[in-house]
Amino acid sequence: MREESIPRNPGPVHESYIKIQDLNAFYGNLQVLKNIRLDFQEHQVSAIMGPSGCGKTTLIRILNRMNDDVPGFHIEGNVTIQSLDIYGRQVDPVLLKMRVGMVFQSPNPFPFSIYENVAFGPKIHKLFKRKKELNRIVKESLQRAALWDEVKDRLAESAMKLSGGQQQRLCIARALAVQPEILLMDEPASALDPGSTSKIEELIVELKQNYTVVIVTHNIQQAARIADSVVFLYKGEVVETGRAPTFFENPSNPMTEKYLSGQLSSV
Amino acid sequence: MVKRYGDTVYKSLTLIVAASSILFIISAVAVLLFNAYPSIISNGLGFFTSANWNPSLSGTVETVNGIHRLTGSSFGILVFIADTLASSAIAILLAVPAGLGVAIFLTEVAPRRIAAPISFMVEMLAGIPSVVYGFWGLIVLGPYLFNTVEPYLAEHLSFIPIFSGPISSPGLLSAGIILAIMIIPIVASISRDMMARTPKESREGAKALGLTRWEVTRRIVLPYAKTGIVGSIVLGLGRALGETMAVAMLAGSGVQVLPKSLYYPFSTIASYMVLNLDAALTDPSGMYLSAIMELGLVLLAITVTVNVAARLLIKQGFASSSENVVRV
Amino acid sequence: MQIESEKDGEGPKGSDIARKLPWQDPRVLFRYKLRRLADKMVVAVTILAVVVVLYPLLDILFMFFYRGALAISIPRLTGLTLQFGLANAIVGTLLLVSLSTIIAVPLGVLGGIYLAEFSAQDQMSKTFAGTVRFLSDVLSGMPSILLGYVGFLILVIDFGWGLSPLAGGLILSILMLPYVIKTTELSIRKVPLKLREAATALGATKTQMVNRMTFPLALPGILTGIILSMSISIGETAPLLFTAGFSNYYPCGLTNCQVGFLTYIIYTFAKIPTTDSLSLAYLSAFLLISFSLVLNMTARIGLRRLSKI
Repeated sequence: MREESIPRNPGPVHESYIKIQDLNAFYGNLQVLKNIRLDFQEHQVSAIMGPSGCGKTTLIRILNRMNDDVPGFHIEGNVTIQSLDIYGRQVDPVLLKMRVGMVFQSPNPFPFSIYENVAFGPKIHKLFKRKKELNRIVKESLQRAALWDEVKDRLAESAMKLSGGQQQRLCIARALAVQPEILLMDEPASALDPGSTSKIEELIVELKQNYTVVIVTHNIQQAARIADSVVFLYKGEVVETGRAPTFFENPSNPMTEKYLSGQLSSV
Repeated sequence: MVKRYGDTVYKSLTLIVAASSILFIISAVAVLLFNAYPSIISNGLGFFTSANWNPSLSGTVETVNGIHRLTGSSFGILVFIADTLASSAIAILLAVPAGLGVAIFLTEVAPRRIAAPISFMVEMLAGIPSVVYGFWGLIVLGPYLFNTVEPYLAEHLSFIPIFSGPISSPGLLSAGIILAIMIIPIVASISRDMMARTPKESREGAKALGLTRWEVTRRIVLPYAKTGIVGSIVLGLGRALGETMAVAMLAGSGVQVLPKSLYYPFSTIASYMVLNLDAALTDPSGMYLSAIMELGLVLLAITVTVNVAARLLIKQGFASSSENVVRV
Repeated sequence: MQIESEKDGEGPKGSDIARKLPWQDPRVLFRYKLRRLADKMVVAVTILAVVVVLYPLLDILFMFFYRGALAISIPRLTGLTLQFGLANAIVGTLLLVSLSTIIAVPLGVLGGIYLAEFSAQDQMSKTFAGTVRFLSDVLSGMPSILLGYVGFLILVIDFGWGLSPLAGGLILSILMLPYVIKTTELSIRKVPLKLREAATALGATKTQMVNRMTFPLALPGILTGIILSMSISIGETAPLLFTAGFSNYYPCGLTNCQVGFLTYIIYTFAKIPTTDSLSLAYLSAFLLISFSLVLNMTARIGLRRLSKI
């Protein structure tokens, strides 16, 4: 019902919505990503997998320039969203984050009320004229994050009182309230119990109706359940990419096979 | 059993020594109280409500209710209270924005390789003896204010009462500025430590929503560090209220009228105490010394209250910052 | 708090989220320009604050190092104050700081060991330790002039020590005590629990454990605290005026003998506008700043190294 009232994002449908070309990333002299070439499609869930330390978190944080302030961090290469070079001069890293929202590994709600958490972004950017509009943004964001029914009667309560899974969905709602096109998720369920995890997974599948989702995960089963396309990253390099079912059933690279069978747990 | 015995001796030894700090402070308070007693009885509440402080050293000894004092002497400390509060208030007004500005620069603006040496230099400020600050105030800051700043203020801002009036070299303004410089390291370094404790998760969450650096600071970092920052300011206030030498060197001596402008010569409690022991000893009735001791008790009460409040705030700031780490 | 329920799609605009994307909205973009401007202004203000704060420091350091260095001469360093020299004040300051360190260190270290090792054994010890911690905090916040008055009345008058190195040193040691106690306690607490447990498991008594295990490990931190407190006491003036007095000659004994010290020279000679007096004050300031900065730096660098352990 809900998605009917919401048109898909405007603009022409691009062949590849996010395009990464010849990307190298460094912390000081340490190279953490090597020659990455990747395409992520619009309105799909793209999963980045790999053992811990493979550079997947760095890769996803490059997509909204979260690493800009990390001392010594720099990249070479090209990252475009809808053909816009996001590391180009005309792109402001702060404004970019309005377009590209992010959800983190452990839930990080602010120590405010539930309502204020979601209203925080819209208030900063002044995305509304009247209080009524703000209320509606908050409500819709919570609905989209599948949290509305659980919190609608206690919006003024502290967000810290919510369970871990609820907090994570609140963080998703908070990111949605700024009305991004792309949602980056860095292992969003890794700190949650199985019940909360499956709720988040259902939610992610639903979110792709309206957003382009890039998710980092080390959980192979999770990637198989939710992803449309998969990237396997190992020691900073792309080993294999593929469409979801084929990738898991028929990996073409022996390394991928090893990883999928659980023999590559870390770098 | 022999082993246990040794432990008991060792424990008792350290315990007795630990008790010595209790002993010191109790005896210090006892000495102050004992010596202030004649003044407390003789001057009563007028001590706190009168602005007339006149030891009347030319008077003769009289005895009222068994307590000796000089005829015509009067001890009211309102002027000292007002001057102490005024100089500390100026110090706080200047030190808070400067100290917070430095703290924000160190935690939010500067890259590490710049922040580290600046942090180091700000801490150096705390290592300079207060008598050196007084000296600098006397030969550099005071003349500069007197020749340049104060004439300008008096001319252009005289419609504001505290900026009008005759200027004088040693005055509230110069003492307030010196005190500010002395307490800035306290405000800056504690605030910096508190702000640096803001969880990375909260910062990044806010940054990912498209907040600018200043917005992250204002909406996330400052509220998070609020209690500790207030604690650091109160601690700085405690230091300013009790500071003695720098103020004594800059206080114009002997003027005891309520301050009407920033340029007034003044006497804080501490500066009066350090400048007037010799004079007090010339009072054969002992009342002058006793009154100074009561003045010392007042200073003790003020600084202890302020310091305890500051430490509680800072402790609470630290405690709540470790609690607030998001648990899953 | 509740958001009144509206039926979806009933409002004139329909869904707000479906509106024009915010990063393309000129209103939002204009507002962002203001926000970015505010950000830049705040950065400028913080840089200004740093400049305003460091200016006096640099001025003080430069002025006293420059004028102090100009004032250096053999007679000023080796002569008595009587002949406009500092020798007696340098010796006096070293004597006072040595005395206060000799008194404060055993008291502070043993007190700190008690707080760190023995204070958690029963309720009464806990209450007692809490009181000690609280009062030593109170002591460190107490204006030193008050201790000067107390020292004058008790040590100088009642005990009959007169204005003397012992009276001054004892009062300084009381000022140092809270710092020594605190850093000792904190340094000992930093020693990992595992090491203590290992020592106890090997059958060591508490005394052996403390003396042979925790204390040596905590020693660098304790020394750091001691050095820091020495740098504080070297710059003290107010309490010494009433306990140590001042003398133009070398110290002549521990009691009933006034003693000169560097801060007194600054306090007195800074106000006398003759070249000889001011030179002496500059040189004293130069020496004092150098002493206390060297001690401070040693302590802080030591602390930093320690915190890496």
